[in-house]
Amino acid sequence: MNIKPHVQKLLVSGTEEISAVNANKLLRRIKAALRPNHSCLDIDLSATRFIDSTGLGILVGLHQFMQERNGKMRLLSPCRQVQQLIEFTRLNRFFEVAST
Amino acid sequence: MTAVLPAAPPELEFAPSLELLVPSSIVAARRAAGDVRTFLAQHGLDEAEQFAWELCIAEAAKNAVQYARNEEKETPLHIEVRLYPRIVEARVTDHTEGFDLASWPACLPPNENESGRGLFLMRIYMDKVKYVPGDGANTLVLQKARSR
Repeated sequence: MNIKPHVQKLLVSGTEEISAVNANKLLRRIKAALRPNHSCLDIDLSATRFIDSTGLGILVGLHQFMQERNGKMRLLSPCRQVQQLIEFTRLNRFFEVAST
Repeated sequence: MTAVLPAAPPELEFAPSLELLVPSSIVAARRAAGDVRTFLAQHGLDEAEQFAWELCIAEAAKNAVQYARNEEKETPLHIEVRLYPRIVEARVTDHTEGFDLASWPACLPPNENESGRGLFLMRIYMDKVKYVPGDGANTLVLQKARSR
């Protein structure tokens, strides 16, 4: 996983999967990297081929965490299967999902 | 006594199959789901089917590990996948207290909830989800039609 801080944004990328195996570690690393100036958390899902219910839960938690900081979270470039998973769980109405 | 499941029709007995005895850990459960995906890919299932099965086996195996009875925490899981001409069927045996699938809500939890989507995912990706309680071990049966 790559975490790249920008002035107002934290960009997370290169995560092949977000699942029960790695979700808590991913959550800890992202929260540790977030600074007060980061009003936007971008999670680039272009390399992500697998997300399970635990992974979805972590994304929900991060979304809420950013909202509590008056910030926002975006999911970028999910592959077809991950996009469909987000739609099946109707989280596309909850998350901001963007294609780049 | 263990659960007695209906046997496959005789003409289907020689379906290609994969049997896994999986150590009771989240990491091993996840790896097993990947092994199922590889098996199905080798038999020509498409990307969407591979993803559906990997996800549902991962969810089923994770539940089996997380909710195993204390005295069964070290008991391996048994996962069996059979590739019939028209359907794929998987059976995941757990050593949990079991649950009543019929009384489990079929709807999604509120968006803000961080958990409670696993069974929903199995129901939406699979054509049939059946839970067969038994003494000592229970079996989750998943079925999905093949696209080709």
